[in-house]
Amino acid sequence: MPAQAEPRLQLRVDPTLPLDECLVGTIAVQAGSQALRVSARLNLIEGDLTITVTAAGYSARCAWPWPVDTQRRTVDLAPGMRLVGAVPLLATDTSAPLFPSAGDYSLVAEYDAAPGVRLVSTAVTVRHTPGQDEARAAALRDRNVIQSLLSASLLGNAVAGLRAVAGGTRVTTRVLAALALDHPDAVVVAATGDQAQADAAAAIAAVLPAGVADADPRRARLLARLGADGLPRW
Amino acid sequence: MCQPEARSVEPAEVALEFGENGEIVSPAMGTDLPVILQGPCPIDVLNGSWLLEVVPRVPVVFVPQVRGPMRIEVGASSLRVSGDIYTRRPIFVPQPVPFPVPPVGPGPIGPIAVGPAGDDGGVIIPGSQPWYPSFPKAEYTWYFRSNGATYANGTLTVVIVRHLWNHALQEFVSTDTGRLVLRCHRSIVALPLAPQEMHGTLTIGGTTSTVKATKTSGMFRGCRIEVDAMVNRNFPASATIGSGAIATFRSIYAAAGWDVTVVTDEINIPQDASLTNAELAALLAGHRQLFTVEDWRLWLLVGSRQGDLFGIMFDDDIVPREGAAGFADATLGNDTVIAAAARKQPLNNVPAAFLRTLVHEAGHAFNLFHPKHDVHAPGIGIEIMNQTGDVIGFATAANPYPNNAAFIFSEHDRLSLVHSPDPQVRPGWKNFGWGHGSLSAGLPVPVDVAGLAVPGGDVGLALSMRLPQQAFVGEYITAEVVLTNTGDQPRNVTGLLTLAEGDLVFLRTSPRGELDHLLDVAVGCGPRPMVLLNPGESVTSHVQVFFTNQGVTFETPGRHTVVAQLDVDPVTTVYSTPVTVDMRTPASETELDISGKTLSRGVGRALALGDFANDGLARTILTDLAESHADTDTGAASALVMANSLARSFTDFASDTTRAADPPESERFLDLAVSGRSVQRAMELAVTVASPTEKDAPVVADTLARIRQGAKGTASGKGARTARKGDVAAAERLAEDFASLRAR
Repeated sequence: MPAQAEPRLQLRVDPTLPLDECLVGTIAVQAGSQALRVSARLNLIEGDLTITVTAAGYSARCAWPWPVDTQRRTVDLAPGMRLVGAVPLLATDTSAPLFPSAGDYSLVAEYDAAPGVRLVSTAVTVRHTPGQDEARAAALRDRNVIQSLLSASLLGNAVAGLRAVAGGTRVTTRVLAALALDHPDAVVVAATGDQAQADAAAAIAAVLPAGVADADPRRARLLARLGADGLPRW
Repeated sequence: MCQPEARSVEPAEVALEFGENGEIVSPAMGTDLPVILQGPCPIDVLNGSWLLEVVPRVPVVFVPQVRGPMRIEVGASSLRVSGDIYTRRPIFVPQPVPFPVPPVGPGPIGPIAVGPAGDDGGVIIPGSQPWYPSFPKAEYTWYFRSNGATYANGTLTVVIVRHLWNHALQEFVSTDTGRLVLRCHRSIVALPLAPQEMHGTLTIGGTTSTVKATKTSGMFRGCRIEVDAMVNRNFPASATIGSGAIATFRSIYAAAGWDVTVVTDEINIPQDASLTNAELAALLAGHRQLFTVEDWRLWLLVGSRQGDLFGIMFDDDIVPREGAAGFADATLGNDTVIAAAARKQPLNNVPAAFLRTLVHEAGHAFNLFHPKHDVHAPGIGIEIMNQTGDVIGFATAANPYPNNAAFIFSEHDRLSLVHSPDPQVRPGWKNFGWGHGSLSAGLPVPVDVAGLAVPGGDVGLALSMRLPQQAFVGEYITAEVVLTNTGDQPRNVTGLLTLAEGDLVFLRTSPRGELDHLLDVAVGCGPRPMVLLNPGESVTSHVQVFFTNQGVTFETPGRHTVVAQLDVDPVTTVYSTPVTVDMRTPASETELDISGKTLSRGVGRALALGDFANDGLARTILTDLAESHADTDTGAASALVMANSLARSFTDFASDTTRAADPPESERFLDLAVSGRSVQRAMELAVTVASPTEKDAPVVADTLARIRQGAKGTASGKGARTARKGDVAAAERLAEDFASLRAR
């Protein structure tokens, strides 16, 4: 009798990233050999998903800094199917920078897929290199900028910092800044090209995820302009 | 634990004694209480909120006022006590009494409830309102909780654990233990106008003080909830819950011992179909009623929607947890475990579900967590702080949501609401996420009953500190410390504004959250020279913080938080506001080279002492740093250490060897240090590498001489940038202040 395959949680991140750029990971629940009804809340906002980040002498919990109330959403995951989401890897659950300095970090995702079922990913490593733009790196350490990027809205006195972030070299960085600054045109410009469009879709899904932000008019308008389905590419 | 036999509603019999004058005298346990036909209080009388005050031994106007709320929770088989103490040292005249805020009046929703036990204990003045002692956050000094208690014959004895609060760090930093003894007697003759009092002693920190407790309420804490609603959205004033009972926001909190006054204010906030966190923050700022007193307040929005969320505690800025929102337009699902009448309905149409969410979000504002995210892992269930989705997980078609929800706080959350420290619970204080683990471990320093020091320092003095916001590990770092007389009277202040003489200390919290005290590697003792500081005048010093008693101070990458603490005189301590230093790893070849050379103990000590002594390896490395990186502060500081060291001889008595002075080499290093550097920075570096206890360190005088030469054009291109007259004067002031601090 063949062995039963359990559902698996997989996390993917860029292996290398400068400290002056934003990181968005993609996350997937891969169905096992049995159909399973799982939580469809594969995002950071609703609290079923957390990422533990460790390095030498450092450990942090990446989770949404604002507690929310929300109802359950489930999806039936048949064998061969995959549930995909995106996760902003910017901040700890207390809005501190997730990657405080250059170095190698290990990331492990945990997902409460169903009552009593917690899936844990294998560890992935991201190497953070020193940033090239100190102003942008400094902005990404600012609490207001961090919270603005996560909430896709302008909080506190984050304007100057967000403008510095908007000058990032990575699509993800520019899209997150543009969302916070409410510059949809800049999102579209940043998403020019196939890979860029995928990166932009992941960034949007990270902070305006399906199921949570379906009713957010910004998400619908952006996805329409990008011609994307709103799902990060796996 | 409470003694079981003590839980009697009837007063225990006590022997009353009458004195020679015919008046009753208290039994031995109540000698400080004027007793008139009194008996021990039933234990139920203890339950509720009290104002605890330390009574001064003598009525001296300058003794600190030590007082705060105390909560005594009497359960069926338990007795728990907690409290928060606030200390104020009067400047001229003491406040005669604590101000009773909030002056709670009946809210628009129902009358003031009685205590959870359903009994007011006869201790609240008839016709009066319960109140909850609240004081300025700046006066917060310590928190205490019971660690065992007994109540017998009217005497409450509590073993307390005290957690001392550091005002500057806004953290609990140390713990000690003590004992609180309170005697509760109740007049046999009714005295309806007197609130219940208890008298006794507090023994802690090696002293015993007389204390008085005055009952303020049969409940434990109070908060005013201001509700604003967006147009066409409704605050669910009440809801029929699964049991058939009527629940209100107030009744749910009352069941947890909280006296919540709900005030519906605006009901026509303009329509906005989708609310971002920024918009919620703007609504909080724009619609919340202004207030100035110290009462606890929370703003609650009945809003439209944010995506598909039911609610959010969105306020986690520098003054956090003051606002939360529920979203009336969010729609319940079509699941069979959701009551048929609620399926696909917006929360606005399902009062029970919406009320639950609003109470839940307010709970977050009091720093409660979802059980599944709580570090104590209390377990997921159907109580208030569970996410709606989790409660729905327990629903069935026969017992659908919201009928299956329990409109109560779990015991874990109820205890937190009642007994957690004020900084954790009070809106506007510690950020969300703080305090639901263990309280901060700290330094067990025995102190007096007033706590560590007068919080808030001295209103007439301001201490500030400047550190680089960012640096790389291994970079030479200095700090500027300024003490200013902001009052209108001259003040005598310490002239020891250095880390080497004990009056000034830096409190540093590392990226790992560990607290340590930063001092120089060599700390001297001696008389404290005082400086007269007239109103508006300041004293300024510059200190190196690269290498301290902690070794390389900022060796760990990440955010360090530093607070300067200065003992201005024998009775006054002031603090700076916290500053942060973000330490990063080296990012260039130059930085890597510097970091690789400075992170050794020998080099660190040399930079801290201004002399490499007989450490040959340190000498070699400092020489390399000076010659290779003189354009950086670290290279210049290394050059100045070399200049200082070689300007004089040094005798190592242990090895009986003497290092000869080498004036030409000293001058060469001095040239490296000042070349291409501003006059002021060159002088600042010179006074920081010189040991504060070595007032005649050659490097200070030599650097100043070189700067003066540059101003006269005699430095033949080797000196600092051409010095203007004002620059030289600034350098001279730095040198003067190094030798002897002066008010300016």
